[in-house]
Amino acid sequence: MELKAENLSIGYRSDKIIFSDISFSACEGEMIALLGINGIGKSTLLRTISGLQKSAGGNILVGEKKLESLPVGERAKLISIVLTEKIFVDNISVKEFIALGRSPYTNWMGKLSDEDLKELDKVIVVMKLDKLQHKFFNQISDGEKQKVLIARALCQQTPVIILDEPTAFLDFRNKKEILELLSSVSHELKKIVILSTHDIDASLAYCSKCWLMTEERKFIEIKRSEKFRSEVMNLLFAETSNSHS
Amino acid sequence: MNPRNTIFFIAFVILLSVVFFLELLLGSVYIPFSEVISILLNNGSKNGAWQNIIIESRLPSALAALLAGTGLSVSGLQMQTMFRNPVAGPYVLGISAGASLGVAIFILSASAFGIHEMHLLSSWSLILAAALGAILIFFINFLISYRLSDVVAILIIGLMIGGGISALIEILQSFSSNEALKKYLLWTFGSFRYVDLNQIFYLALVVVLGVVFSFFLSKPLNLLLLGDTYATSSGLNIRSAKVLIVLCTSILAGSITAFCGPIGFVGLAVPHLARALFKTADHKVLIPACAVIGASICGLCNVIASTPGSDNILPVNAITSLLGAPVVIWIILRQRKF
Repeated sequence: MELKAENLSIGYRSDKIIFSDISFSACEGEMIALLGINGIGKSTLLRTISGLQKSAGGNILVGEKKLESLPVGERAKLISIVLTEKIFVDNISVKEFIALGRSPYTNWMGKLSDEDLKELDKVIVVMKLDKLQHKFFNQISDGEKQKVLIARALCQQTPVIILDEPTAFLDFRNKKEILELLSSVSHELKKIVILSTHDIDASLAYCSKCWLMTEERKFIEIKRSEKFRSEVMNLLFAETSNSHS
Repeated sequence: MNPRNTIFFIAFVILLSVVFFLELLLGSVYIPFSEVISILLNNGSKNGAWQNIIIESRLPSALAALLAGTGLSVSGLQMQTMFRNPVAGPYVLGISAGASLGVAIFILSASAFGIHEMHLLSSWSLILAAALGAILIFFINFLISYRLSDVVAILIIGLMIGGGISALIEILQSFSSNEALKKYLLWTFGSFRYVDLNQIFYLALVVVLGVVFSFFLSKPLNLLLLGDTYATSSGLNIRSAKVLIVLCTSILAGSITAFCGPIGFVGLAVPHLARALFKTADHKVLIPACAVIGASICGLCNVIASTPGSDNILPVNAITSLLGAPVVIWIILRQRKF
């Protein structure tokens, strides 16, 4: 499975393009950090790749299929998401919350089959949520909630998982734990994990490559290498020095 | 449903049966317990008037209370989920106002245009008037909530729409005959007694279909708990799901309001009671839970409204509001903790 973008433009209408000429490809087992300043269009790009928003031009291919021609039900089996917005739902247990991720596979009543339950238990173990599973979602900490949201996405069994700032609002320890979990998920479960973040150092430690959206409106891919960090930093510093000059 | 909730559910079914029997037993006329039983078992009674009171008056009103409580609560639950708003409900978001407008135009303008033979106006046209009014207002709310995500803005606009509708109704009233005015005013008091045994069948049909249909919407409703974006990415076609929910809730709330008048706070408060007691967010459990709790509460209000032993009949709308308002205050106070 491969996720590809060809000359993608993003924006709300074709006359309101906020970033264009985006081309990339991602393979299973890769974890990719999407970096760039606030307002550059990271969230818009992630929404577009998730199929939640129409692109303003170009193509997104999931495997052989064009994303925009897929019905919602099919898309839900290919791409899952974790958003930044906080969720307030009372009286829902962690396990029930995660089980919602099975909905693309359940029948019209949302009844969980044996296979669904097996996958659910597997995900709970992978995400180390065994002890929390019977607690209510609104009674756990922010870091735990983030893990539950990721578990919900994993339960959807999609080859691609897209996360919008999964480490925002978290303390250092939780950040590290979330990034470690995501990294092991991408390696062991052979998934494409794409996350936007402002935690450059922390995310670079775990990612196999990163995508930069620069202030010059260039989309740059940098692969992991010995000079990975300094390369990224140079480009980011170049941005700041340019913007000051 | 887990064992704890099954027990709760059975307890409420028993409570509902008791309340239903109380509704038949108690009223302005005293009828002995044994006679009520005998009439219900179709063995007749030594007093023909008693038989008439039970079968023609108390039974239809008890059934109307049961259906109204069920339908309003289920409709309120769906609105709270769809708007992701704990204070949404048929009353606050102006659906009752919409239904009132429909009925007001129907009753009052009939009189303004000189149509006085009200008995020609069938119950179906009354349902239709109320449902159309309700759907109109709900769609306005729906369009607004589609564009705005700000809960407070949606509520304020709902209130403003309600205010505008009252103004329209007042203008209509100034052109109406006394007879029509009285008819409309009595309708706004809310009562489970306007419905006769023939009409009950239609109300039952709409409510049963509406509630069964709502139950079939459990999966989309559960997905909407996490918000539109997660629901879409889980494979839900948001637009069609929301249209179905809008139709279902408007028809439920609209038809009940048409038959029984506006019944405040039931649709708002009962879903909160259901969530608090059954400790779940799963609509497969909440919909039946709302149905039994709502039916019990409306039955209880019906008993109170009939003021056993006296000739007075209190407006049901006033009773439900008196009971419901504290519940809503409790909800807001409880939420402040978070």
